[in-house]
Amino acid sequence: MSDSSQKRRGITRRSLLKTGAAGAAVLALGEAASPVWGAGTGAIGDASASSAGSGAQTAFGNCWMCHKLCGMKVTLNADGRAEELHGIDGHPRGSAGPGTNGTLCPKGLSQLEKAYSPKRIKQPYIRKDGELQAATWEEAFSYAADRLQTFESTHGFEKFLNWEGWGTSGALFETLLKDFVGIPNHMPHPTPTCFGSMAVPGTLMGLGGGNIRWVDYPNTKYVLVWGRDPLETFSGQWEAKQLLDARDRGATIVTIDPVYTETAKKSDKWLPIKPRTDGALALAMAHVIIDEGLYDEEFVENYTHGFETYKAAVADKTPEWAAEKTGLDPADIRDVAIGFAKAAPSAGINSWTGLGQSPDFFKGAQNVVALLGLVGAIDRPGGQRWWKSMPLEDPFAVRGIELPHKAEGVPSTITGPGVEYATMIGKPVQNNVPKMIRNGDIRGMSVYYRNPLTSGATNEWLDALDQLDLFITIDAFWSELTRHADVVFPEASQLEKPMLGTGGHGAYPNQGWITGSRAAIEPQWDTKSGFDIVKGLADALGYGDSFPWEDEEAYFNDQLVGYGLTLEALEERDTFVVGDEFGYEKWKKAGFANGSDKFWFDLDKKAKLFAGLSKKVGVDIQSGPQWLEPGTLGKPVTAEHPLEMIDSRTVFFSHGGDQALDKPLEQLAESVGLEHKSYRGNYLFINPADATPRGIESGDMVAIESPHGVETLMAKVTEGIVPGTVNVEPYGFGLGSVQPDEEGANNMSLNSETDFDIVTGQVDRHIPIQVRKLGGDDR
Amino acid sequence: MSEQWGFYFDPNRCIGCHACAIACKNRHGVDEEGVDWRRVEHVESGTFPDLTGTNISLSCMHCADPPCAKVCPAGAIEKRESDGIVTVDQDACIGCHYCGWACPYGAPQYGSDGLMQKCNLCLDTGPGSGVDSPAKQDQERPLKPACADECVGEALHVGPMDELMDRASQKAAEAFRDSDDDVNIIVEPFSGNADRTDVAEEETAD
Repeated sequence: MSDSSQKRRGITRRSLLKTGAAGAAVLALGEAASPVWGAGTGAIGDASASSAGSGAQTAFGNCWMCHKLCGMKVTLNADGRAEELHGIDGHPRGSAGPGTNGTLCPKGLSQLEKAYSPKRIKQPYIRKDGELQAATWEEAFSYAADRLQTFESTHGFEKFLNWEGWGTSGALFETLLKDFVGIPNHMPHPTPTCFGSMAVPGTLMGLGGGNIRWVDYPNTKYVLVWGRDPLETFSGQWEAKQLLDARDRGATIVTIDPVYTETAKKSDKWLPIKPRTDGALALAMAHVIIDEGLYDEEFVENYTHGFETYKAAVADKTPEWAAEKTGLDPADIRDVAIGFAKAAPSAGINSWTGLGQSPDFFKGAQNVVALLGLVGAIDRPGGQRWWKSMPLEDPFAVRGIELPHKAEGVPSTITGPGVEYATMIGKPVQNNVPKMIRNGDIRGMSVYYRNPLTSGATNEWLDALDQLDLFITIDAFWSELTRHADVVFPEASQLEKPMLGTGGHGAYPNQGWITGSRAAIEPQWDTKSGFDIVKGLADALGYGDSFPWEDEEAYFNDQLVGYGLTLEALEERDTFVVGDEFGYEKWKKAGFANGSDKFWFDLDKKAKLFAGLSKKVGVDIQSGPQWLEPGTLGKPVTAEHPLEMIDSRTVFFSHGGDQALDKPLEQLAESVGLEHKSYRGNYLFINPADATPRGIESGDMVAIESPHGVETLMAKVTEGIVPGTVNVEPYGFGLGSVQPDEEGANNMSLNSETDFDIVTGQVDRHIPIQVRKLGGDDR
Repeated sequence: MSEQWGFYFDPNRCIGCHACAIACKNRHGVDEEGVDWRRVEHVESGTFPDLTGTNISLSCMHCADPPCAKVCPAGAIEKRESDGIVTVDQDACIGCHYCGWACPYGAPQYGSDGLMQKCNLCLDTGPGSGVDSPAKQDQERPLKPACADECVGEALHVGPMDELMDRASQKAAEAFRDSDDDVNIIVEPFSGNADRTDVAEEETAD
C-alpha cells in the first residue's frame, strides 16, 4: 500500500473493517425507486437468461456436489456450453423457503469447473496384462461382466463387497449387484464412516440417528450447535439461510465446539469445549435442568423410560464438576442449561459428525441426546424436527418387473449377529476390510463414488488393494483407488445427466418435496451417466430385459407417475413441487425410532450389550447416561502424542470427492490468508500455545505423526481452537485422495485399522498425535 | 451525476463461503489464478477464548474520486458520469500497474496479458467490458451482479446508493454519510457474539 493512499483521508482496508465492527441501531430512510440487487430482493429480468447474450438458453439442474439437490438454472451459450449457474428461488434445498432467493454455494458454482475439468477420467479403462488401458464402453462392460461371472464360479459372491457411495445412481447400482447379480455384502455409509457413534445411541434412544441435525428453525428460540458447523457444512443452503434468519429474529444460538467455527462467529456464545468431553457438559446441563425443575414433567412421565436412572446419574454432576472436565466456565454451563430448558420445547440441538466419530461418543452422544427428552423438545414447534418425504414409485413395479432377489440366502461376510468381522451388535466395520482382504475373505470389490482410503486405515488399504482379484470403480477423477481398479467406468457429472430426488429436510418445515431436472449438457468426453453405466453393465450380464428404460429420464418419469409428473413438468415448476402439510408430535401415533412408544434415557433393554462392552474394555459401562473419560473407549493422548487431532470439512469441498478443482482450492488458500504460497492442500489449524513452543508459524510445513503414520501439510496458527487440539481442515487430501500426487495430508493415514468403535463400527477420527515443524521448505 | 451505484454489505450475514468470488469468476470467465475481482477477507481478533471473527467481501468500490483513475497515465480508467461505475478501457491500458499501487483496496487485478481488469458491476461480461455500456439504470436487460445474486447469506446487495440506504441500519447509514471515505459501500456493524461486544468496541476505539 502506498503512502499517498494511506494519507488519503486515512482510509485503509483496516478502517473499513473496523467500521463493520461497531454497535447498531436503525434509521428510516427514503423510498426505493429502482431495483436493489441482492439475495432476497426483487430483481429485474432473468439474470441467468440475460447473462450470455443472444442465443443463450436456460436449462436446469440439481446440484450433486454434496448430494443435496439444490435447484439451479444453467445458462447455456449458443453452442450449448454451460456458462453460468444460478440458484432457484423458493427451492426446498437452495433457498430459505417460499418467496426467498435461491443461490448456489461455492461447491455448487464449481460444477462448471468440474464438468469441463481436464483432470476428469475421460473414457473407460480395463486392466490388461497388469496395466490399466483405455477401452471402449462395449469392451469395458463385457470385460466387467466376464470377470464378475468368473469371480462367482471361482470365489462365490459372499467374497465380493460393494460400497454404497454417493453416486447419482447408487441405489440402482446396488439393486443390480444385490438383486440380480447376487452380491450380499454392501458397506453402508452412515454408521461405519460418517457418524456411527452418534447415530447408534440416537436410534436406540428413539430420536433417530440422523435427527440430531434438524432444528425447526422458523419456530425455534434456542439452538445448541454442538459439534457441527451449519454455516459452513450445511446440508443444503436452506439450513445456513434459516439459521441466519433465526438469529436475526432473536433466537439464541450457542456453539459448543473445540473450533471457533463460522457458526461460532455468529453465535451468542461460543463454548470452546475440550474434545470428547461433551458428555460431561450434557450431564451437568441435565443436573441444572432437573435441579431447577425446568424439565418437561408431562413428557418425561408419559413418553420416556429410565428417568430415575438419569436423575441419579446426574445428581452429582454439577457445573463445577463439568467445568473441570470440559475447560468451560461453570456460570456459562448453568446459563446455557437454563436458557435451553426455558426455551423448550422451542429449542433444538444441531449436532453430527463432531459427536459421531470417536468410540468415546457412544456414551457422550447418549448424554447429549437425553437432553432433548428431558426438555420435551422432540418434534414440537421450534424443537428437533422429524421430517416426512414424499414417496416415489418403484420404477421396477411400474413396469411389472419382479426383482429376482438373488442375494437372499447368500450369507453376508460383513453384517449380522455373530458375523466375525461385524461389531458387537452386528454392524459392518469398514476398517476390518483390509484384514478381510488379507485373510482371503474378501476377494472382490466395487466402489461407486466413495473413497475408503480417506476414511480410515489408509496404509492398510494401500497394501490390501493389490491383493484383490477383481475391483470395479465408477468415479469422475483419478485417485489411488481408481488407479488400483481392474475396471474404471468414468461417470458424467451432474450437469450432464437428469436428476430426481425427494425429501425430507429442507426449507419447508411442514412439507415434503420432490425436485428433478433433465440433463443440461451432453456427457463430456467419453463418459456416461451412472444410470447408463448400470444399464450397460446389466445388459452385458444378461439382465437387459429387466432394465427396459430407454434412458434415465424415462426411468425417473416412471417414479413420478403417481403424481402425474415428469422431469419436463418439474422443470416448468422451476424443478420442484411441495407436498401436503404434516404436523408435529408424530411419536404420539407412530412411536419413537427405537420401535417403542417411549423415548429411552436408559438403554437397559440392551443390558447384554453393556455387560459385554464392560467385560471387553474392563470398565463398568452402564446402560444409562454416564461420564467416561476421553480415552476409555477411544485412544487417550499421551506424553509422546499429546495433541488430539480432529478434522472437518470446509464450505469449498464435499466428502473428499472434488478436491481436484482449482477455483475452490484457491479460495480455500485465500480463506486462511495463505494464497501467496504456491501450496494448494489442506491446513492444520493449531493454537499459538501449541505452535509457538514447536517453532511453528502460519505457512510452515509441518509433520503430523501418530504411532501409525506420518503426513505433511501446511500450518495455520489461530487463536480459534482449544489448546491441545489440532484440526485438519478439510480432510480428504494427499495420499489416496483424488489429488494423490498433489499437496496436502490424508490424516486417515494416521488411523490404524484397529481404531474404531467396537459397538457401532465407526472409524475413530480423534487421533492422539505429535506435530513438528519441517525445516527449510517454505512453499 | 445521475446515479451512483455501489454495494451494501452486512457482515452479520456473511458466512465467508466465497460464493460471491466464484460466481464473479464464472460470470466474467476469469480462470487465471490470483486474479480476484472480488475476494473475501476473514478477520479474527482477540485471544482464546475471547474472539471476534468477521468476514468481509470486497471488490472495486467505485470510489467517488477514484485514485486509480487519477494516476493512470493512459487515461484508461473512467469514472462514469451516468452511473458512477468505474471502468477500464483495456485498449488504452498500458499495463503499468500504477492503478494497483494507488488503490488502497487492491481492486485492480492483472491477468497474464498484464492489462488491468476489475469489477465493472456487471455492466457486461469479461475483463475490460462495460466501457461503452449504457448507464446501469438505463440498460434494457441489466445483468444482476453475480456476487449479490449468489450470496448464500444475503449479506451482499448491489444498487444505487440512495436505495441501498433503505436497508441500512441507522449506525451503518450514519457511518456511510459521515465518513470521509468516498467508497461506495455501506457496511453494517458486526454484532458478533453478543457477550463479546466489549471486545469489538475496544477494537474500534483506538
